[in-house]
Amino acid sequence: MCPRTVVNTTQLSKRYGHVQALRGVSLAVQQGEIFGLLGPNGAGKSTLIRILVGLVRPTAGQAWVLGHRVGSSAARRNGVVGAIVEQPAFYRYLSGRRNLQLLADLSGGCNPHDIDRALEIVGLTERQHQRVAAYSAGMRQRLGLAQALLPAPELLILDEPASGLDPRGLVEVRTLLHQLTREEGVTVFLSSHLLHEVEQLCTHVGIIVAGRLVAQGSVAELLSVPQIHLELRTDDPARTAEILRDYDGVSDVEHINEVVRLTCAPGEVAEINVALIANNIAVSALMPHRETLEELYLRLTGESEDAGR
Amino acid sequence: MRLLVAIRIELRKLAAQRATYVGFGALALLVGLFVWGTWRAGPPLKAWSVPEDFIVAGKLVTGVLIPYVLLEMRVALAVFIPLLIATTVGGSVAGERKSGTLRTLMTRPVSRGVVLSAKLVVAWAYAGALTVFMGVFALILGYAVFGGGDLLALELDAPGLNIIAEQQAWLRLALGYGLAAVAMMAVASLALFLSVLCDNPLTAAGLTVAVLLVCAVLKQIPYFEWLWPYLLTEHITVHTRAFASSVAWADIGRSGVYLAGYILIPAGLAAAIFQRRDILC
Repeated sequence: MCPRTVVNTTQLSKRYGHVQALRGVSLAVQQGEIFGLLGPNGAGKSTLIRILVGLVRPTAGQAWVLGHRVGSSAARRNGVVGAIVEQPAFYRYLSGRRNLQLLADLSGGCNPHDIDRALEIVGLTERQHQRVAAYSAGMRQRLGLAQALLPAPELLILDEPASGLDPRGLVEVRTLLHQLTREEGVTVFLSSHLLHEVEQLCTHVGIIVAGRLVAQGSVAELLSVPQIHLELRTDDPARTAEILRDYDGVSDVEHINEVVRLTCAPGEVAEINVALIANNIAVSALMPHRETLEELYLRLTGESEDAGR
Repeated sequence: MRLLVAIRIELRKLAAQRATYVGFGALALLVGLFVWGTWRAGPPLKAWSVPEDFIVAGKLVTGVLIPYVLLEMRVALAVFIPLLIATTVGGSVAGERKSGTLRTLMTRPVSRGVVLSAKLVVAWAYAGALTVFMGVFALILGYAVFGGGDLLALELDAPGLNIIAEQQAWLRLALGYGLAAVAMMAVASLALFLSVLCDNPLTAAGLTVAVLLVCAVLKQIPYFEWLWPYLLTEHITVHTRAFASSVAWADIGRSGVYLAGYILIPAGLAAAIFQRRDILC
């Protein structure tokens, strides 16, 4: 069975006065994915999220969430979407629990046990009856996550969900999102600055720069490149470099200090090792280096910014 | 169904805010001070421009006189209650936008129309409740301090006083306060419209008061006489028509039409703008 498309945008653009925040963004997120939206500050991540949750109207293009056009009454009636947009804000004069109750009632109500569960998940059970005014920024972030979980959402749209969380909180949120995706089939669409976090958490990634989506796909797809960088340590680096310069499928061979660096196809690594041993060279270290998400991100954002200049 | 839930939520929020009770407390204080002043100094005949040689015999100050004079004083309906409405209703959308709770609210699966309709209904209810509270509290305090008796009311459009029998006075007070409540609902609509337009609750409240002040100033400039029948402040005082020797239904009907316009037009504009406006804060 084909997975259902949960989030779909076509040629989405948004202009605020003279500022073009989004330029023809088309993306698709399938059910069960954890989609991470990456991009520098002002790239358009929050604008895209605001459009998806109906806070902002696009200037051009369309957005569909759970099969309904964003902003349509059907989307409002049937859409089971939990969301956090920027720093979650609550009624400071009400307790955390009362805030959750009120927001859940607005979307059709929920069982008190669901509120208990959401509070337990985010670790606010002890402080649930305290006024939100007394909450720290991290606690408000947790409460934001709790409200997004009420009532059981099919899609979670989270703008910087890790913001304000301590390392333990980060791990808990990561575990929770994995669990929701795996066990309840929830789709997660999140934006983040934390590349390491996104790499660990997300199955799919989109990179947005200056309002344009410059890359989109599964993390594995985006990081699967035809060439890898290889670093070698041998007992005779000079001769190693000399041998490899004549080797088919190897390029950019450099001998720097005791290390030999080169570029080759991933499948060549084992053969290079065999060739060096055959030439009586003892290989002490052979370190293939794949591009990380961080490097991909920096390369793409750098290229896009250069292209924009 | 969603609208009823949204109204209940708005009411809960209003009930949980201290500022709501401050408004009712301030009105109670105003009534209390007025009753104390009347008890100490007698009825405010001077304020009614009654000549000094005018002789009135019998019981002048009665329980029904207190809510009547509070309506007539204008300070309550032209200044005090509109100010309370402007500060509370003015913050209804702009305040939520500024604090970010509007963003949280609108990320829930609920339509903007439902949210704004609930805010409108609660704004009207609040405006009506303030007005009715003032009347009921004044009546209770008035009866407690001065006891029963007929109502001595000003005659309309001619110098003179009008004596209204106690039972009839109750009906007239109900009509007068009902009309005043409708007038205050128009102020609430205006405040909500400005609250939708502004990002800052203080700006929305300030603009509401400013609109009322501009209307009052225009009423003082003869050049704008052609405009007078259309001014909101002209119709805020429609309750006076309930205390004529016979109720001026024609005037009430005409003002009712204008007030309906002042209630519905800003509400419609607020809904149209709220539907389209981006929520960026």
